[in-house]
Amino acid sequence: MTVYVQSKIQTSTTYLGDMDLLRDVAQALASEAGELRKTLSLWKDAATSTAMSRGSSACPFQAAGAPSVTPPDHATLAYDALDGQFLTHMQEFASLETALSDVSEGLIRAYSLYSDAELKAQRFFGESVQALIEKFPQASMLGVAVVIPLAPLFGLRKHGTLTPSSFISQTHWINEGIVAGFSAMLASAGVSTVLKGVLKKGGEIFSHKSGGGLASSFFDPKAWKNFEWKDIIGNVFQTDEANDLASAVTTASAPARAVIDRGALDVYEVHPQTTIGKPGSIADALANEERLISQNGPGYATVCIQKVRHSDGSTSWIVMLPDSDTHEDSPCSGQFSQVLSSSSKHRLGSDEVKFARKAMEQAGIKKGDSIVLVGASEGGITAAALASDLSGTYDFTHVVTAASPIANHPIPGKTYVTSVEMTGDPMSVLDGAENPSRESFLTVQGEVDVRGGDGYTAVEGADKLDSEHGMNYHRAAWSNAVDTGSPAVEKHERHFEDAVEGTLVSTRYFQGRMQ
Amino acid sequence: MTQNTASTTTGTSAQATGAAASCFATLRVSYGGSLRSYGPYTTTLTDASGGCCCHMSVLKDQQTINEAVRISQKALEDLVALLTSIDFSQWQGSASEQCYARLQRLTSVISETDGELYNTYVMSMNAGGTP
Repeated sequence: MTVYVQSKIQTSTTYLGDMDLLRDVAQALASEAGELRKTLSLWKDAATSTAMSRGSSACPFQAAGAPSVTPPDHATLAYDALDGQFLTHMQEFASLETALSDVSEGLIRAYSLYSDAELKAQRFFGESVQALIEKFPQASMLGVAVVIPLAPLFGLRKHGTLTPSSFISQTHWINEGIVAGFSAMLASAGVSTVLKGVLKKGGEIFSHKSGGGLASSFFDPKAWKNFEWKDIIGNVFQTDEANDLASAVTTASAPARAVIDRGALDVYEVHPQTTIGKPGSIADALANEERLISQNGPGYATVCIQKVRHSDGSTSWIVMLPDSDTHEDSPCSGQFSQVLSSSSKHRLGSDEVKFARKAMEQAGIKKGDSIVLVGASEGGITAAALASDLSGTYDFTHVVTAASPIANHPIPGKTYVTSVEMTGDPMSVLDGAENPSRESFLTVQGEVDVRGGDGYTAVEGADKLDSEHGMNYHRAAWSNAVDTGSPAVEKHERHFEDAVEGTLVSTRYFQGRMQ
Repeated sequence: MTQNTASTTTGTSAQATGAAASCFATLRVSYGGSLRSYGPYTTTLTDASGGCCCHMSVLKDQQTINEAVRISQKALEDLVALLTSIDFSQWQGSASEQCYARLQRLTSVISETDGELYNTYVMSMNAGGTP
């Protein structure tokens, strides 16, 4: 089985021309396609109708095989030839209808013409779900508990096979609302206290002291704050509940982290056998990132830093960041809540960000240097954290992320952000919000399909529906977006190409250990 | 049918984008020649109540086919009017060029369809009978 991806492009496109007029054009083409569909039906009806009248006639000159020339007192038509004409008309009108529909959909996708209406509807449903969860937390928990076992059935309905990831894909339009709702609930004051207790006990367990009763205290519904309507309405205008929760978790877990001493961070250069080439495009950057984080790459959490000399003699840097890993002594393990936190202090204090900064310093990156950041999954969140919190120190020209929840990181508008997500990847909804929509912030959102066809891109190495978190899915999503000819995608490609234009001077790799 | 009908979209676009549009070469679908004009949709059967039931049956079939031809012709006319009214040079990016190119290629299908409709029309007008 081949798995395909089709992408949706979300950005601000007002700078590309009169979008209202283009929307009218797309609608007119779709409407005309509808008229052609009706015409196609007309020929189907004509074929049926003439066959019936011919079949029910008692006249021998209308029977099958009868000559089309009759005596003067009879009449007939060249029915057999006409049947062929009907078929031709059906094929021709079907072809015209398909082409018009494809062009209309192509325009909508390439110019993000659905963005306004769909995003508003999505935001409305997301916020409504969030409000319901905040007001009725226990009923919502029960609802989730009931729905989760049914998740694979969504996959069965769409793809004809059982797959939990397609549940996430099918409900992606409310998933961010669910995340935001539960985040707001958990980040509320009462639960923060409970979390502090839980995590303190967790810390005690890690340090081999007595602990227990974790689950019972965490899931005690009495501890959950029941939001007042005024708070819920206030939350409608807020999108960073998930980051607030990450902040609350980071704050509450501080005592536990103090108990589990991870030691000082040591960053050193390594020399892997295979090396990564200079990316010429965003597609190359995603492929390079895949190599960096894959098992065939350098392995342990590694930052790759490339120095580029531009044709005008100036230099800039490409910093590729690693995903999280499971090594206990890695600076990239257990840092999720910190890099996702809404607090700049938490983000900068994370071992993952410290690791990246040390590697950058050791590579020779100086204050004010131009940097392109590339990161996938948690590496993308780290990239967003760097671009948000160190924008006064370095000149971050372009950030490329894949599978990273970065909607609420305050990346300045001067920095181009190209974010690739998959609707069936739970990681990308953990920010509980849609990415910003501005000229310099482009989101490509891929959705899988097993049918394929015009406008779809095959996912390399995917022969069954599995986790959409993989880089092969995100590379396919980006490739599909490029194929649309979207001017916004082309603009980001050009910007990236300009940012990395020139000759590769060096490629260096750095690993980190908590000593 | 002419190529210049129903250009409301074009009119609006020209006003909307003004000078910006003039910077680019026009990307407007052109339809070579014009769609066939024929009719009236009349039958050679002058006496539908002739001696045999086939007269009524054939007349009914002719009406069905001619109605389908007429509506199809109208659909093609509307389609050509729409395609020739859009100037894709107003929007940046290769997507608009791709759409223009694809729609331009459709004109050959339209032309073929137009020709086949005419054939169907002619065939439906011949209701047999010894000349």
